Amino acid sequence: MLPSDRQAHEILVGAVGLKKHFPVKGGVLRRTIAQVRAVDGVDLFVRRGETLALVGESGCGKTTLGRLLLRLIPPTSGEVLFNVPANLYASARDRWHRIAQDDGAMRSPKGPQGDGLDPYAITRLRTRAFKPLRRRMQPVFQDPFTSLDPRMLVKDILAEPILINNQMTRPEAMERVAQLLQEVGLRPDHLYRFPHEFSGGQRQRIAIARALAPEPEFLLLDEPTSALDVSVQAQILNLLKDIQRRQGLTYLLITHNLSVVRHMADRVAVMYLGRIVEEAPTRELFGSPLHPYTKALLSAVPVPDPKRRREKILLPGDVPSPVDPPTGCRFHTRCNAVMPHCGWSPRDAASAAAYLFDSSRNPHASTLPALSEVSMEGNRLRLLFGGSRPTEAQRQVVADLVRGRAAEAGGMAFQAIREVALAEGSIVLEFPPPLEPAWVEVAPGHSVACYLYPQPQA
Amino acid sequence: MLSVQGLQTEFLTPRGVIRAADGVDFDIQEGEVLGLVGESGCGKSVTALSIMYLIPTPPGRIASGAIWFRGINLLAGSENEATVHRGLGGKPKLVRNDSALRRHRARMAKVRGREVSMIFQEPMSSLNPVLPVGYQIAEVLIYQRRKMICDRLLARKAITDEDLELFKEAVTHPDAAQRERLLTDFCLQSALPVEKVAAIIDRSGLQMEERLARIRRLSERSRTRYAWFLRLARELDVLESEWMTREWRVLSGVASSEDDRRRLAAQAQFRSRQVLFKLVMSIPVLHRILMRPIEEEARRRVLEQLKNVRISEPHKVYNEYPHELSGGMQQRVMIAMALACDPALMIADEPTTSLDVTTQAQILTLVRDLRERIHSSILYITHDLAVIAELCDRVAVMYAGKIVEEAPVGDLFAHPLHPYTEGLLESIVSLDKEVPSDAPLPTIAGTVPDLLSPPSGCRFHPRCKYAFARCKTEEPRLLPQGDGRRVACFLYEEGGSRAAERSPGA
Ligand SMILES: Nc1ncnc2c1ncn2[C@@H]1O[C@H](COP(=O)(O)OP(=O)(O)OP(=O)(O)O)[C@@H](O)[C@H]1O
Ligand SMILES: Nc1ncnc2c1ncn2[C@@H]1O[C@H](COP(=O)(O)OP(=O)(O)OP(=O)(O)O)[C@@H](O)[C@H]1O
Ligand code: SF4
Ligand code: SF4
Ligand SMILES: [Mg+2]
Ligand SMILES: [Mg+2]
Repeated sequence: MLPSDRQAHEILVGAVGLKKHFPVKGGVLRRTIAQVRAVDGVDLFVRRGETLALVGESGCGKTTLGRLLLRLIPPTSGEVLFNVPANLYASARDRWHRIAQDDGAMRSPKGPQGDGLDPYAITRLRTRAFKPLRRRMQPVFQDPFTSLDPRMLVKDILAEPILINNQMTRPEAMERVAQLLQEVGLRPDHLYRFPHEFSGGQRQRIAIARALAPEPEFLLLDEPTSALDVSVQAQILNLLKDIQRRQGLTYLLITHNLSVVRHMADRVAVMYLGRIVEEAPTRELFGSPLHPYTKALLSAVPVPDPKRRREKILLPGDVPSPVDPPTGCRFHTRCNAVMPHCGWSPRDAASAAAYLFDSSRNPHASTLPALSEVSMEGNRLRLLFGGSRPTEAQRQVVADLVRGRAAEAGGMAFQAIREVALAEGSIVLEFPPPLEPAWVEVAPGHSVACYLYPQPQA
Repeated sequence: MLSVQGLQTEFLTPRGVIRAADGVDFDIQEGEVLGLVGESGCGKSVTALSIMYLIPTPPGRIASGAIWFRGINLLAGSENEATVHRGLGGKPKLVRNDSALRRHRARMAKVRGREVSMIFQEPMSSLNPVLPVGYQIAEVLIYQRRKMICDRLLARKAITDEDLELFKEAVTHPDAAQRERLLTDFCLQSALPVEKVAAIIDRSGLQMEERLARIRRLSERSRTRYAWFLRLARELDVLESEWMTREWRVLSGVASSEDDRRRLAAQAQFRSRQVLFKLVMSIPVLHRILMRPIEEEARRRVLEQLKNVRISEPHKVYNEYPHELSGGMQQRVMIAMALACDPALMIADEPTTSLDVTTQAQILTLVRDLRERIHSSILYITHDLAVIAELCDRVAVMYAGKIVEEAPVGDLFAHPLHPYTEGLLESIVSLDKEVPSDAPLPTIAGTVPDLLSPPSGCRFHPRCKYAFARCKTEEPRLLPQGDGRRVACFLYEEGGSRAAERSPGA
């Protein structure tokens, strides 16, 4: 048990700078060749007694984030705090970001010593010390088919966590099991059946009962109703709300169903490619979404009415890879409100440059010598022209071409170019250093990371 | 196209017989999307698995019914595979006839496997956990769609001047989006791999002549060699399908004398060619060399499909194991596997439950596209009525093992007939529907009936707010109600309170 536990603090679970990178193995020797940055710097908190919904594209890292918060997997860096006062969480977050900015390096999960967080940080506990906490944070996963042991009777599935965690005798435990079963709306005769004898909805109820068995304070609900039909889904949602009201539970709800989010959640966090991009009270998020990704997401919700097929904002382009996420704002490759300063970098322009400055392809480039190579170096795109050293006149031609392309549709990456210079026998197109948009609180409790909204003064 | 008639599928469990599908009837026309909805546990997946003949035996078996698909009854010839015997003490016991089962499964795989694909409800339990996912899809393609792959390879021809003109345009067109389109067109026409052509286009420091020369060389290198082998493999598959289909027509009892003659001819030709094929394939070196183009083509197609279902970095995912993918990615891998086969009939069992709405929109576009492109029929099982509203032409509503209502999608949403459908539509949680957040959501009162001992009469009567005396004793039949609708409810039969509203028959 944590030393801080005698008091109930406002924030039940808080994450600071949380990262999880999975190695990608490749080659004959299956060596690590890259990292999947599944969760890549997340700050998130859940207040005691509230429901926070986490939404985002498939594969953006929601499940991984949930598992990190419950310490089911260790983080690559960052901390998870449990039952922490709000002001302490805020200062921990600020401190973390100051340090991260100072050295930029990936930090060990352990923060600086003596920062006063030791009583709260579950990521600093040894496995044994963490054990008593485990029962207080329980997961419910999407797939009730695979998450229940098929060889155990329902009564044993439910009694197991009670017997492990509490000093109860068997009869006492069985009494609690019967009570749990009633709580989730099942009949006592269901105790002596195996999981496969139930329908999906009933199985999900059993999974919820099992999660409730050790009397947790925090439930991670990872798509708890997506396998269920609308009527059973409504029953489960009513059940979850009811339990929350009676026992003051705290939920982190991961789901793709935005109608469910709207009905269940107090606050919503929107995730894109390993990052939180917007966070707001539910009503506000649905009423006035700010981030272009959130807007696209809300517009794509299918309407249960065949007569009204709504106009959708489809996300163009390829889904970027979490191995090598886009620079600057991670959404800039697909954003429909994108601006020149959203974080364009040489790789957004390389393919177009191979056409634009090649005299054998583009007639407007005919005064340039033959282009031999386009290479990327940091935030510069270098053009090499065979053996010849480019002249000032040729630099002018390139600059004009850049300006021309920038004015065309789809030429946003070229608008971002700051300078066209002669350097070391080549012409260099210089991009601004790609900065990520800051996390700005636009209205109380409504924060967003996007350049459309006023950035703090540096 | 597909007609399911009186399908009964049952499971023998220690506690009794569960009739999970109990007289299921529906048709799907060519190019039609039929939605199948219903409460959890009502037998939707069992219906789908029965069509695929993938019911686990034991404990399950198809007790009766017919499934007509393109003129053959898929169940013909399967009658004796599993029979129920009363054991000692009167407990029913399932006895399996292994050789009959194996023969029928093989027949199914050969005929049906080449035309029907299914997306399973639980990706994790249908993907092999110890094989990379890309490899698994490629295997399926090679096993079931060898003909399609061979056709594609054989369609490759020497590059023409016309193709080269197209290529030149793809290199020099001033508009980037247009260049992209021209590249795709060129690759389609010349059957050259996109990545390689793109690399030649974007390679700097080449004159046009050099680029053309490289394309010619690329075309030369990827020209189809061993065409005789591809033709042989293709012909084997064609003959085998022909033979099996004719044989099946005989089993289904719809064969003409023509069928019989053609079956024998195809069978004889198949046997003679197979000897040669087996001989060639028994030499490991030849096997490797000859199969390589087929394997490469399959791999190309898999990568293309993975990209279509919005998997970022298909090359990386190709080599990953199922547990390394997120829930939604596993599901998209299943979808890619089904779509890669260009099936004439696709059965999709809850294909988009773990996908976010933007990705789901993309998948629905792919499904529509499949139908437009090759006129496929689709059976789409889902709980998400909004998806049904967007995608389907007709909807069948299932309750406790039976179809209780069937209607064109617009009519069903505008004016549900069956009380269960009514309840279902009421319990939709929708963004447009304002439910005060402290009020409980509307649900259908009561619980799903236990299929071990289903309620008498109309199975919905314990939960139906309109139920009357007749509902408890008699079972309503699925009767036409005009405008292509059918419903099983006494309210609409002679003397029912709603019978007057609609004129039956029509
Ligand atoms: N292998 C099996 N052994 C015993 N009973 C089974 C088996 N498979 C299915 N059943 C029974 O058949 C019934 C129908 O199951 P099915 O999986 O078709 O439901 P479903 O309509 O697809 O539901 P869901 O929407 O939850 O997927 C269930 O009541 C289930 O108990
Ligand atoms: N064990 C693992 N090994 C390697 N990569 C992994 C592993 N688990 C997850 N990933 C990768 O991390 C990324 C995020 O996965 P995660 O399961 O968190 O996504 P998600 O947001 O839950 O998506 P979904 O909505 O589809 O379930 C994915 O790209 C996935 O491939
Ligand atoms: S910062 Fe905002 S406007 Fe710019 S690309 Fe990102 S989401 Fe779009
Ligand atoms: S037949 Fe009777 S019980 Fe069944 S749905 Fe109709 S009214 Fe209700
Ligand atoms: Mg997930
Ligand atoms: Mg199912």
